[in-house]
Amino acid sequence: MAELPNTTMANECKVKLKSKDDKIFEVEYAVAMQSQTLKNALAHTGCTDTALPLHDISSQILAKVIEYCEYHVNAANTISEKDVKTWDEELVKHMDQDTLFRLIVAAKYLEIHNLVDLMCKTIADRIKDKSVEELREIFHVQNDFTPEEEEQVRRETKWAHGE
Amino acid sequence: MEIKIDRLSDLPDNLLCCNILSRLPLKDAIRTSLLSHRWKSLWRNIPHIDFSQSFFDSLIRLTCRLAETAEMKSSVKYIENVINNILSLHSTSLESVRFDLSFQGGQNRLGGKILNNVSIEQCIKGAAVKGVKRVSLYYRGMCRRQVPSSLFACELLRVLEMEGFWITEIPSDFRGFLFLKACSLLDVGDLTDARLQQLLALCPHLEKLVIKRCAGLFNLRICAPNLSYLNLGTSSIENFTADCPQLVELKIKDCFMLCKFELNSSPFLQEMEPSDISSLKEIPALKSLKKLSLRIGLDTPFGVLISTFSDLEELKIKDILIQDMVAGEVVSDTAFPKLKKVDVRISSDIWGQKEVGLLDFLLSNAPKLNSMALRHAPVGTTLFTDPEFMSQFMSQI
Repeated sequence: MAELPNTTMANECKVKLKSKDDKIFEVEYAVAMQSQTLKNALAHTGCTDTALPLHDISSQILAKVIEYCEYHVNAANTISEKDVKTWDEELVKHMDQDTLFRLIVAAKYLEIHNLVDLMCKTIADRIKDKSVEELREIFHVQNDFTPEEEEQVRRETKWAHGE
Repeated sequence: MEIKIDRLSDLPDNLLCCNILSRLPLKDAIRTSLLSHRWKSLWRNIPHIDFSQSFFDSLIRLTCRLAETAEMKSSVKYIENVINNILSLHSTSLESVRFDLSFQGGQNRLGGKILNNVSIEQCIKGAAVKGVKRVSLYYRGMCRRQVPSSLFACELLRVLEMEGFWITEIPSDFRGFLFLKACSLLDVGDLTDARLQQLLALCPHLEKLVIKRCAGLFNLRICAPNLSYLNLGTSSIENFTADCPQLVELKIKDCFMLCKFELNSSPFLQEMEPSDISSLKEIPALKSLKKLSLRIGLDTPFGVLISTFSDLEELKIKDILIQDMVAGEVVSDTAFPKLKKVDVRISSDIWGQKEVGLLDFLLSNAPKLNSMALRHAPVGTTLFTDPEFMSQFMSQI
């Protein structure tokens, strides 16, 4: 496996990524390494000028992923954990739901674990303290229960639906 | 125009369950079962169940609302039914379960009384059947609670955390927690030396052990071939023998009665926080110690420190009451040849001669010292970690 052996080469290597809509993004090697998927891919190909195609990720989402990875690489030893956390919170605070979900799918595909965790935590926060009706409304979940089925599920865990 | 796609339900099972639902309070997680067929059983695979304070709190409020005069017995039964129901609906395997039985509103209120009578015996039995690996039991209240005997049926336990319970009896058919890796016993009543032995005797994989405020212990003997971290804070202990060849970190705090302390062959011991240094004089195991934190007043001259801890790299002195500091006592030229970092906190109000003498002593006997932090408890901290300052300071000596 042609993994980049020495650090100087790693420092100079620029990784090219191609989004679904054929836009090319260039990132530092260290930034690309935040993604386990890219790490594995690059171990096979070595540093290459060919752009790695990311068929399911749009340029808008890819830009956000790169923004996250770049910040975290730079923050690694220089910025306090508390400030990093604040930055993360700012990133997701007003994020619209659509972007949120597209981002989590992208992060999952690219295996960027911190980003997946951040997205999941955000989604969990948006689920918390909401009634079932509110959740269906917010997340557009289709109710495919028959009235009898729904009644049965409700009865099973009655206490949870009480308040 | 907004496209209303349900992207949430499109996420993979594993992500929804282990990364999203598992972050929610139990009630919110279970509530999702009503969303759609897809969601009906998702929550049942959450790896851990947290019966938290707020969980019990909302249940108690519910029972008090359901009946005009919340009858104790029926409320207790209701809550037991709910928790047992949850366990039975949950899937066949469970990683960890936590119970916090401390009632938020105070013990004298009806809610507290109800919760004090709720038995988790069957619930833990259900968890044991599902091969639970981690059990955490918390209770902070007026008096302790009895530990459920079904706890001892959790044979696959890897982590056990207990606070505020008492163990009156260990079932005679208890075969030991053979897979236990970490154990934390805080404020556990009726824990005699024998009972502790029985609890931990068959734990060959034990790596981390914390024992605090367990006032039934007097002669403590810990034989744990894989133990690397040990934290003791129990004032009743008089004798302590540790046979832990893999021990790396040892903390002993508030063990006021400790008069005999034996540490047998712990070559990897790196970090220690003993409560009294005079008991450590003749322990050869301490030669390799790299980090030392001293907590209680120091009556022994610093000569002990020198002869015992020659490999020390980091020294932290907290709450030191300097009684008998012999300033400038030097045994050899390089008393602390490897000492790099010192952190001193002194409680006296005046930065007096003794305190300066201590600093002087350290500076004279630690040629590799590059960082020194001086703190005046309890208010404020002064930090001198600038190497330039240090070299200046040292050149003045």
